[in-house]
Amino acid sequence: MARSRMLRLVGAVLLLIGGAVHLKLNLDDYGTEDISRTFAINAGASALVALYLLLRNDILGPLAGIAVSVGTLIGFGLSRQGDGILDFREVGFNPSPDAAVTVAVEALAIVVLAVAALQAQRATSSPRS
Amino acid sequence: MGGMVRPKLPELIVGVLAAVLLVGSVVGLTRTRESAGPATPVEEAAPGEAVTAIEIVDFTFGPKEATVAVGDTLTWTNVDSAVHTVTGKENELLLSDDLAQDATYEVTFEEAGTFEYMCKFHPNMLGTITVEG
Repeated sequence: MARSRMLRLVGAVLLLIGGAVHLKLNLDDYGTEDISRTFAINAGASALVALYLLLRNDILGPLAGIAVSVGTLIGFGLSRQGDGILDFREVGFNPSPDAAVTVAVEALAIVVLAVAALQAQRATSSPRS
Repeated sequence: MGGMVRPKLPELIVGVLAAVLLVGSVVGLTRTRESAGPATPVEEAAPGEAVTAIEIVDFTFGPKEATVAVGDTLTWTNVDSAVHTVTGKENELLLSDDLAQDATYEVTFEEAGTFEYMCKFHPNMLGTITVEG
């Protein structure tokens, strides 16, 4: 139980870091107006999932966190190829260091929350002693 | 089986940070951008209108297309918080350094022609200068 709690806590912190970076970009007026709005939505979603992870010990929190992080990384990838996304295109790990920090914490969050989800799944399926 | 968790100190601290981020995201979603509104519009130049300055606002060169005469000087000013450049697509005349916010780049056109340019960091940012002899 202690390990599960720690995983959810670390996952929540990682989501908050990613969300905070996105909120900073929004408040800095970084990017086009539409993409900047998605940064604020990302921050809000990250905060909500982090709160859920802190309050509920079930599989939904980790899965929601994974969805937020995977969505963030997909958005990052789309913004760096072709015509970009929402009239916004970036190159490499710009803006620096925000882009690199985001990719690192979201990737780490996926790993941590995947382990937390597996643990929650096991706890659900195994009979209580 | 999962259920409600009785928060301990670390959860309380992270919970407060999450609440702050949530409030911040609402502020970010509902506020008006500083660069929005009539103070810094990105306008297109009217045909024949003399252009001496181009602003970079919201990842756009404004005006995107400008016509100047040989000997005229154009000044680009980066209003965005993001770093941009003025980089010629097939010419070396337009080749700015990285322009941080409020940085400017100035070019005097000595020959007639059409000069297409972009931001090297944001290749979908495009502009064209037509220099008339």
